[in-house]
Amino acid sequence: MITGSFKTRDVLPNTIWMIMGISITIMAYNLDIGSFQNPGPGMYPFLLGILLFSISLTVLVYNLRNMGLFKKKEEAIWADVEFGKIAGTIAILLGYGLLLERLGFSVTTFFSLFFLFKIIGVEKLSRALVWSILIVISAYLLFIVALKVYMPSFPWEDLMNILH
Amino acid sequence: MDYFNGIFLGFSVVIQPVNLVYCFAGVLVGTVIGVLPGIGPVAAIAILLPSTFGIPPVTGIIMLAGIYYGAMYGGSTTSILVNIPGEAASVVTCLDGYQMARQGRAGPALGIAAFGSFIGGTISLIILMTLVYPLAAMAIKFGPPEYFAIMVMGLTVVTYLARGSLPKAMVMALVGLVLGCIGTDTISGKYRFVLGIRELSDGVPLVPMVMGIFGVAEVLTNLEKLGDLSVFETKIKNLFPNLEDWKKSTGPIIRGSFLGTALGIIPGGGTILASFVDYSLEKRISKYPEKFGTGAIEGVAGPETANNSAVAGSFIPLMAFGIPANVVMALILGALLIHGVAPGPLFVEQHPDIFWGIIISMYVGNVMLLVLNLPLIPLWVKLLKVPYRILFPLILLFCLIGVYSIDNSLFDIYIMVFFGTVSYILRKFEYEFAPLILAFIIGPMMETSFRQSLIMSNGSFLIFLQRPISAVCIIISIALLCINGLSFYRKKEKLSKLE
Repeated sequence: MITGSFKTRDVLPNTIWMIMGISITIMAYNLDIGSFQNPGPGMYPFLLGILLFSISLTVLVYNLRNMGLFKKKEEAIWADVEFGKIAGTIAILLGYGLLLERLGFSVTTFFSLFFLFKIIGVEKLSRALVWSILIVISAYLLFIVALKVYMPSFPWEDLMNILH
Repeated sequence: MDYFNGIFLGFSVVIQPVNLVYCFAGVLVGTVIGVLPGIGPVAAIAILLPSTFGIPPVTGIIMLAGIYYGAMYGGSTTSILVNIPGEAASVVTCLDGYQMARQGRAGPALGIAAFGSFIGGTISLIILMTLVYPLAAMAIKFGPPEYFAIMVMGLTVVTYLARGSLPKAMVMALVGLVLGCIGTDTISGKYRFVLGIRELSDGVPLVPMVMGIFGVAEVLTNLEKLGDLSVFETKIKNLFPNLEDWKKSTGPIIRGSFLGTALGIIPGGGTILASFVDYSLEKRISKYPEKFGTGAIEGVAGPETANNSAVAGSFIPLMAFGIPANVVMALILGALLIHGVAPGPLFVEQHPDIFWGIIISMYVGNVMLLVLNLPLIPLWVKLLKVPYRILFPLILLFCLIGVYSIDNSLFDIYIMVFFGTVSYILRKFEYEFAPLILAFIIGPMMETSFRQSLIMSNGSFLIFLQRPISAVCIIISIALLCINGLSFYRKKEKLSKLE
């Protein structure tokens, strides 16, 4: 249901939706929209793009025209956010993706868990180490051994070749 | 097939040891998910969806359904003991359940929530069995215009009922429809919006996207306030409600059963709506409405019954029409399609073992939950005390493993992280994602129905208004949008006058 809020912070997302709507409309037009009698692959996204643009434009115009209607101060949405934790978690997840097939499941999972416990969760070093090792072993037994889920293993053969 | 043969077939499917084990696993996981705030049934189903790929479809759906209604049972525990809803459909249970706990009546509150859920689940299953056949028979007469109109109505209801602003919900629905267009057009074979990324030629993968939106984003949001829950320290005794409690709760339980089922059927409805509407109803018709919010057992019995009844109710449109009523059903539809099973009007005829197996498993699952929940409450209380800073790495790990195990593709991990990050940011701007997910899943079906309708009508949009069922759905959709627009305009006028 409408909560009826005109917030300055909504200007940015609405602008993005407008740009997205225009882009979709143009890309869909280039796809071949066909005709109403024989709709092409671009017809449906073309109409969606127009709708998206129209709605976001309408909301943007209302926001800009009625900004003063609500005297109540907007709450600062980013005020209490610890950006380090959020960015750190995202970085660890991306790192997991980058390293999983290079270092294998066990090594990648261990380091990811360790950083999540130690840096994000702010656990003591010993606790972070113990938890990480226990969870890696448990996950290995559960997913790889019991459920037979395929996960990349550490390239031991390459390491052996390097050592020899 | 008549009902008795169907019920016997269902039992014969469910009592197979593997199905019993997966049913138990589903309700246990669901209960744990419901107990733990910070992760809901949608994320849990998304995370466990890949684990169903190697097992028969009926077994997989039995487990996933178990997670859904198990979470409804589990959510009441946290609401009553901690005053924090374990999942969204248990929000109203906090109002009276926690007050009952403070008065030393946590036991009867937990007990009536469990019994009410069981009774509601049983009644709604009977309604499900009764309604699916006639609705499926009706749905066989549906054509593309009817399917398109029903899906439009479902999306409109979801956006109308969104807790935030309607335009934001509409934008999310449109974005979901656009995301559903990415990939290869099924009719012409042309690539659409793949932006040169080979992996997008099959479309945006559903499970990584959902895990990102409901798993990763939820974790990022909860990381902002890492703290421990303080569980209300009380001796939990007398789990069986007394005669007086039963006398007060019987009416709400019966009303909750029917109301919850009905609201579960409506596209866009579901467990959250069912619990809120039931609470409002009970308060309105009660002789002592002032007692609501101070520990009225009716305020626990009714909503908890309604939210569990809505689970079975929401299966009805999926099985009869092949249209998911809410996000969870959309995921279950996704799971069925991945297994090569298409729900819809012919589903009951073509897959009676799956249909009856799911229904009977829900009854068996409800029995398991009643037996599980009451004696294991002390265990759930201990579980609540596990700090979130230990839980969140586990949740993220399950997401990563689940996502990678689908196609062994790193691209899926990147998709999950991308959608997790974007949805975390958009949540800050008060955007909801239920409309997006529902739109994403039904979008391709909508497009096919839309294009077929235009071909049938030689390009005339009037076809949607010329056929009765389609016309009714379109009119309801327009009416809902107009009602919302009108109330928005009135509020603005009121505020202008106050200025």
